[in-house]
Amino acid sequence: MVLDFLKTLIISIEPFYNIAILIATAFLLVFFAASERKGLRVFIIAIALMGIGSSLVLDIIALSKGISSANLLFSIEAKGYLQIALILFISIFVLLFLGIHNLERQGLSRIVLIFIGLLISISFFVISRDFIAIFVSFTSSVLFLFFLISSINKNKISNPNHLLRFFLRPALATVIVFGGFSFIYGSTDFNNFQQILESDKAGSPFINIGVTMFIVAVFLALFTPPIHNPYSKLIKRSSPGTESLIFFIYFFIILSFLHKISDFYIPLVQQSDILLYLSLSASGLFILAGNIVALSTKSLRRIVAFTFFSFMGIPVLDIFLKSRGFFTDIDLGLVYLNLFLFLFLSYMPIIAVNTYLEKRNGEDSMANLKGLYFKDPYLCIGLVILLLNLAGLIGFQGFIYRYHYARMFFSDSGWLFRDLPMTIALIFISLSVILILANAIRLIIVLFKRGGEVEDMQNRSPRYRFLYIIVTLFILIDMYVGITELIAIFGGDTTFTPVRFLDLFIS
Amino acid sequence: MNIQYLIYFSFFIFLIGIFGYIYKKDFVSKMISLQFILSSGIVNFLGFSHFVYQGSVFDKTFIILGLITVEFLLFSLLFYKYASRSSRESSRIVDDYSLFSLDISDWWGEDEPEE
Repeated sequence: MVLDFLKTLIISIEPFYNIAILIATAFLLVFFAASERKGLRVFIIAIALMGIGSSLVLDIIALSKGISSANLLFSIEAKGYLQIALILFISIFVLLFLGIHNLERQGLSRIVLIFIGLLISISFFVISRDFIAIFVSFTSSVLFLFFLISSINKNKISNPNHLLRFFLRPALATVIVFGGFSFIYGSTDFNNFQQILESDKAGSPFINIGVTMFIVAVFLALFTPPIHNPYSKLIKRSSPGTESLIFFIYFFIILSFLHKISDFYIPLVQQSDILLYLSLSASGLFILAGNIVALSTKSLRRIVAFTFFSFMGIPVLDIFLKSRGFFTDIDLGLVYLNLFLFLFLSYMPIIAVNTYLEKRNGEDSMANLKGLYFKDPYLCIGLVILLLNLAGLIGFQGFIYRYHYARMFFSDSGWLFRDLPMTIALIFISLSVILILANAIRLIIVLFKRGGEVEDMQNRSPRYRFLYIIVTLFILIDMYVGITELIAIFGGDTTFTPVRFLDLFIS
Repeated sequence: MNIQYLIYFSFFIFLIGIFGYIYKKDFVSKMISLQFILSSGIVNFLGFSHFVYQGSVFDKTFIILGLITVEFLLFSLLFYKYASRSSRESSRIVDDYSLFSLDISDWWGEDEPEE
């Protein structure tokens, strides 16, 4: 009887095994959350990593089997599995990073537990289809992220008001989204976006008002310039780990929401010239503001934060491009996933190196990089490769990411200089590459300058070993993607390209 | 009373909330502004439910579950604000939560952290 019950239970949660594993991990960690013994902290991190890893494996298995499922609240298919796989992959490294830099602190067990809770919320948010499920999981994700960042920065941030100012923005966005749903409900009595798309009410005024409120909420939550002040202040003052959470988890949540409403805002932007040019202007603001601030400062944190911030202009530009018919056969969600993978593989090792140098030298400055070539050539060369990859070094993922845009612009479809807005879009994309390259070269020059104390950096601390592993691993992945895709571009064998692997999983 | 007046009323409350959020700088005023914006959403939900979709349960479910999560988020922010405040800070640091502040360090130069 017990076996029958277990069998029924397992069958009933069939497509959601990955989330079930995360819940089981969280349940297990609850029993250890009160303990503060150091050995147990390592054990807790190991359990959490195993749970996330198992969830990732189950997710990939489900993706390869093509399992899809839909019920009243949730709907999961290939794209959803991909999104969850990406966030789980990112979480493994973020959790490792958090664990290494917070191993000595009290409350690490609680931090790990909140982190697993955050992943569960995000997983539910990705697969939710009902309005209630979308809103509750979105708000829960923001809530868990707030708990996590405030726990990490407990007694570490000089003025907690900066953290509050940052999170007041997604709180405002959440409240505006609540209002947006009220208008969408008012236009129809439907419970999910799919029903609205299948009906004839997709372009009705109340729907448009609701979707416009969603877009406003997304731009507020993304800290669109010139209201990016809280982002700037928090990044400068936060403790290690906060940057990776904001870059790779917070922005992922906001862009996932943007993708969920893409079937509505794209037609809206197509119909309205104002929204079209607003999205174009906003993307330009992101790209220019991010890079100009990065060029104007000597703080490594701000350089990294604002170059990352400038990349948030690309999804906004994708709104404009998609509404002009640029990505006709490509799902915008996959474009965002590609961007996030590129950003994660580029920025995670850079953040790891910066954090280590800042802790070692006690200050946040470009001077930390001075003479790194003479102190640790391996790390220096790794950093050079990562910075040039960001700018689009041939043979690495950064180049492939830019290549897809260039290929479409220079194709026979006539996108190049088609009209003024498309020309401006091309200028923004080019400026993004040029300014990122300028920032990269500026940092590379400092790496090779002589100066600073000659010190032995070859110590054997876990953080340093973690640095080497991260830098090497991520460069290898970037190189693998870059070289295999480059071979495919020149008509070579495509067997080992990541896109081919993806096709194998999805088909 | 018809749906049109309710929409005007909810829009009015929404505008009060937006104006309060943009104009006021202190934390409590921002929280109250957010409650106004939430209230406009609730008025919309209940108004449409009463005049357009009689007998609908979805809106009440959305309001209950949505409000619980949003209010929990806002309460967490409020709790953090007052739990992390010390007597030293309250006399020194001005509460300024403006939506927009023209700070030159956000665009050029360095952003020195406070001591």
